Amino acid sequence: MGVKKFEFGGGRRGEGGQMLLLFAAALPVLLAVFAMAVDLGGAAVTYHRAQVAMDAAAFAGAQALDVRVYAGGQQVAVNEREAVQAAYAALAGNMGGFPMEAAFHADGAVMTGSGTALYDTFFLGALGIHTIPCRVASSATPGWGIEEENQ
Amino acid sequence: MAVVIPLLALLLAASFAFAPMICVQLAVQQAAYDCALSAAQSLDASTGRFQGAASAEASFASFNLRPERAAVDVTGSWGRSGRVTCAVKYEIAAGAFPFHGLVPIPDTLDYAVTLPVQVNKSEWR
Repeated sequence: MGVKKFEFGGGRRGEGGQMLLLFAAALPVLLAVFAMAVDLGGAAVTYHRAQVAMDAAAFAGAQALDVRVYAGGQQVAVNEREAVQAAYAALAGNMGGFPMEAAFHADGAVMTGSGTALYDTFFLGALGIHTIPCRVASSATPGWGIEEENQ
Repeated sequence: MAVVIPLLALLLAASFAFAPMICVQLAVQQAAYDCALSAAQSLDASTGRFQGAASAEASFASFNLRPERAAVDVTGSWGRSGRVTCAVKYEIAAGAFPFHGLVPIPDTLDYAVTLPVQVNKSEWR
């Protein structure tokens, strides 16, 4: 019984070609995974940026207390016109130039907002996905403060 | 093979660098917001700066990042109708990534959030 000799790098002529074929088959898959990671990662950052800006906008809007309503009956309510104005200003200031569509409205003491920021893809455009919509929503109220004495 | 192996190495390097960058960017955004929120809810400038910095530090810690690599700058006016801005800059340890010379990695990531000062401090909910 003879011992079979093992040679690194492919003893036979066909093995090098098989490796190349394997790489050639794996490369598109690897590239696709990488492209997806880049674009989904970018979309995650855009989503979070939009959420932070929307939270800030809702907070800013909720500061616009309607003093006439409060003076009239100690009711806490947001002045809708001023609140919406403040919210849009805060949104624009905190999105850092990124475009975002948003809508705000105040209902009593609750300021709510929702919007969509679009992330332009780098690689997924090759698959027909040119933008990824990042939908966010947030709400805020004017009061946060001290509820009990000496707190 | 001479083309494929370097290409794979480059992809691997980019992947190693890219994923932590996403995490750091999210942390920087969150820290800037938390800092601004805490600062906006405080009563005066000195308390606001302290609370903002403390919030940013807690945010970085929650992302398992080192707060000492971050520079937090809280500025603004704490008077009525004032606005406070929290700018956070985080230093990236580029040398920690394999093949970092092949992939362009920024030295720092930064973000800033501006909020109006909370003026309605009372029993309201």
